[in-house]
Amino acid sequence: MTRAVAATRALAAVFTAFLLGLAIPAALAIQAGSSIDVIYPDPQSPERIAPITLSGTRYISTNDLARVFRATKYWRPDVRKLSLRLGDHTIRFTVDAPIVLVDEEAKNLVLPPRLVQGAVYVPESVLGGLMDWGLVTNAAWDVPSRTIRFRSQVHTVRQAQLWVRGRVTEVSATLLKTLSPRLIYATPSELRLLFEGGTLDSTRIFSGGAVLSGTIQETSDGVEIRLVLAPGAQGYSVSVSSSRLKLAVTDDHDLVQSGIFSKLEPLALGGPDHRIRTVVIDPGHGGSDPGAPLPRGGSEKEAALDLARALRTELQDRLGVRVVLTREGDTDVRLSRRAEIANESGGELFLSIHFDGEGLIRAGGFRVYALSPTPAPGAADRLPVTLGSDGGAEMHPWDSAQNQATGTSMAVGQAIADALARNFPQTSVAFRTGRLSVLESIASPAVLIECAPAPRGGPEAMSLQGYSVREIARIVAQTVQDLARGPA
Amino acid sequence: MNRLNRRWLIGVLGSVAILGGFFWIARVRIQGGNQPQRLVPLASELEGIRGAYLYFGVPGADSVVSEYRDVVVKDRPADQVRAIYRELLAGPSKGHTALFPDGTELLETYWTDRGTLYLDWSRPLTQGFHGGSAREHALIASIVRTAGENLPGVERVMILVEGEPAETIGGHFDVLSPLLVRDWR
Repeated sequence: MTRAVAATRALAAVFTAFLLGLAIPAALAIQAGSSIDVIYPDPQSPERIAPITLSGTRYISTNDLARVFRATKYWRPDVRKLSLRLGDHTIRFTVDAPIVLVDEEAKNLVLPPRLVQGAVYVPESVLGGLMDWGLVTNAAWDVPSRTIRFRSQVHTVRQAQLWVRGRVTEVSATLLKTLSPRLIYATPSELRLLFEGGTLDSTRIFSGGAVLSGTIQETSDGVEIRLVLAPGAQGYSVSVSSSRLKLAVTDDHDLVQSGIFSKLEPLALGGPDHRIRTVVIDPGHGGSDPGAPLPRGGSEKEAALDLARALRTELQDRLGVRVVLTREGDTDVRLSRRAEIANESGGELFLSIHFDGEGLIRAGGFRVYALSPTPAPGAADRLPVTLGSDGGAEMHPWDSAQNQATGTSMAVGQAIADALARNFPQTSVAFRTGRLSVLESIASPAVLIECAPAPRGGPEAMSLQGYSVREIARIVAQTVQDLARGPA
Repeated sequence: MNRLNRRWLIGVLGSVAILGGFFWIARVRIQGGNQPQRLVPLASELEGIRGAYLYFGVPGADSVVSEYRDVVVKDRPADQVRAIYRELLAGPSKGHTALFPDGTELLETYWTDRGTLYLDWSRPLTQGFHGGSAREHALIASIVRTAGENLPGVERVMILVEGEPAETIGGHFDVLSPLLVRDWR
C-alpha cells in the first residue's frame, strides 16, 4: 500500500515536472510584445498588430507586414526563404540568417528572422528599415509611440472660412496649387462652384450674411462649394490669387451696377422667354429589361411608366406644354434611341424616371441625378464645331451633348431634390452627379429622378410613405413650373 | 528500495522530464516549424500570397466597403489581376453584399502601359443584372476601386463584355469609355 502511494506520488511528480518543462521554456521563449498601432489615412480604420518577444527581442510577423504595407509574399519552404514584394521593390529574408537582400543589396539585421508556428517573424527593427531603405515612402514608423502612421493625402483645398464684411459675404479657402474654380451655376437663390479633381481637408458647413447655408465638401467630381443664398442676393465674384480663393456674394445692387460683382441670373430654363414648350419624359427600362425588383412587388419598368404618365398629366395641366414620352408601353427602347427621341422632338427639359428598392433609400426616398460636370475621359477632345462663319450652326458631339447643359441640369436637379425633401420630410433625398448613360446625349437640361417606394404600403400601388405617384408628379411639375417662370 | 534511493530516482526522472520538455519545444520550433501552417507552400517562387482589399456592397447603404483577403497570386501582373478578381467574384465573407450577377466570370485582362486596365467579363454581367442605380453604382465602384486599391499604376478601368465595350451594365451608368479610378473614390 505504502509502496503504491509512493509510486503514484513519484509518477505525479514526474508528470508535473514534465509539464513545467514544457511551460517554462515556452513562456520564456515567446512572450507577447508591446502592440503597434497602425494609423491609415481616412477612411480606413486604424488597427493594432501584436509583435512577439523572442529571446528578449520584439519580432513582427511577415503576415502583418504584408497586410499593412500591401506587399506580396513569396515563400520557398525548401530553402526557408521569404520575399516581400512592395511595388517595384523586393526584400528577401532567410530564416535564421541575419542578412537580408533589399533589391539585391545585402543588409544586416543583426538578429535573424525566425520561424514560429509556421509564420516567418522578423526583428521589429525591419520596420524602420522599410522606410530607411526606401521600400515604403507613404508611412513613418514612430518608435516612441510605437505607431506606424500612413501619411494622409496632401489636400489641394484647405481651411475654408466664411467672412461677413458689411453687405459682402465671402468664402475663402487656401489652395495648395493653382486650381481653377469652375462656376457650375449662379442663380439668385443658389451658387455652385467646383474645383475639378481637388481634394479637401475637411467638410465645412457655414452660414451668415447673404448665405443661408453653405457647404464645402469633396464629391466624386472634386471639391464643391454650394451656397444657398438669402433672398435679395444680387451679385457674386470669384477670384483666385496667391493660392487663395475668394468667393463673394453681395446683396448690394450698386456693387453689381459698378461691375465689381457679376449679376446673379435666374435659370434660363425654356429659353430667354422662360417658356417651356416641350418636355421629354423617359420612363426607365421596359420590355425585356424589367429594371430593379421593388420591395412590395412589381418592377421598376412598370412603376416608372406609371409615374411618367402621371407627370405628363401634371405638366400638361400646369404649363400647357407638349409632353413626349420615350416609351408609351412595355417596350424595349435603347438608351441611344431615347436620346434621339429627346433631341429630335426639340425637348427643352428631359426627365428620366426610375425606381429602386435598395441602398440608402430602401426605406423610401429619392435620388436625383444630373450628369457629372467632369467630362468623361476623351470627351474633352471632342469640342463643338461651328459651321460657317459669323454665328453659323454649332454642332455638338452626340455622346457629349449634355456637357453644354450640365450647369442648368444640376440646378434643376438640386431644385427638384430640395422640393421632394421639403414635401417628404421623413424620407431620404439625395442629389448627386454621375456618368449616367441616358443623360449624356441629351442636348437640353436633363435629370434622372429615382424613387424608392417604402416597403410598407399605402392605399395606392406605388405608395411612398403614404404619398402617391400623383403627389410625386405634382411636386416635380410644380418645381419645373417655378423654374420656368423664374423668380417673382 | 529505501527512501533515499527512491528520492534519487524521482529526482533523475524529473530532470529527464524537464530536459525532455526543453528538447521537445526546441524540436517543434526548429523542425516542426518547417511545415508552415499559415503560409501555403507554393510550387515555385513565382507564386506568392498577397493581401488584397476587395470591395463589396453594404446592405442599406449606397457605398462599398473593403475586406482584406489573402490571395494566392503569380508574379505576372495579368495573373495577379485575375487572382484578385476571382476572389472578388467569390463574394464577401463578413455579411456584406455580393454585387456580381450569378455566373459572371472574368474572361481576360489587358493592362496597358498608359494605366488603363481592361477587364473582359462574361455576358451574365449585363444580362444577369437586375437592380437599380444603387446596386449598379456599387458594382462599378467595386470593380474600379478594387483595381485602384490593389494595382498601383492603374488609373482607368475599361469594362468589356465578351470582348466588346458595353453601353451600360444595368441601364443607368455609362461604362462605354474608361472609368477614372479617382472618380470612384
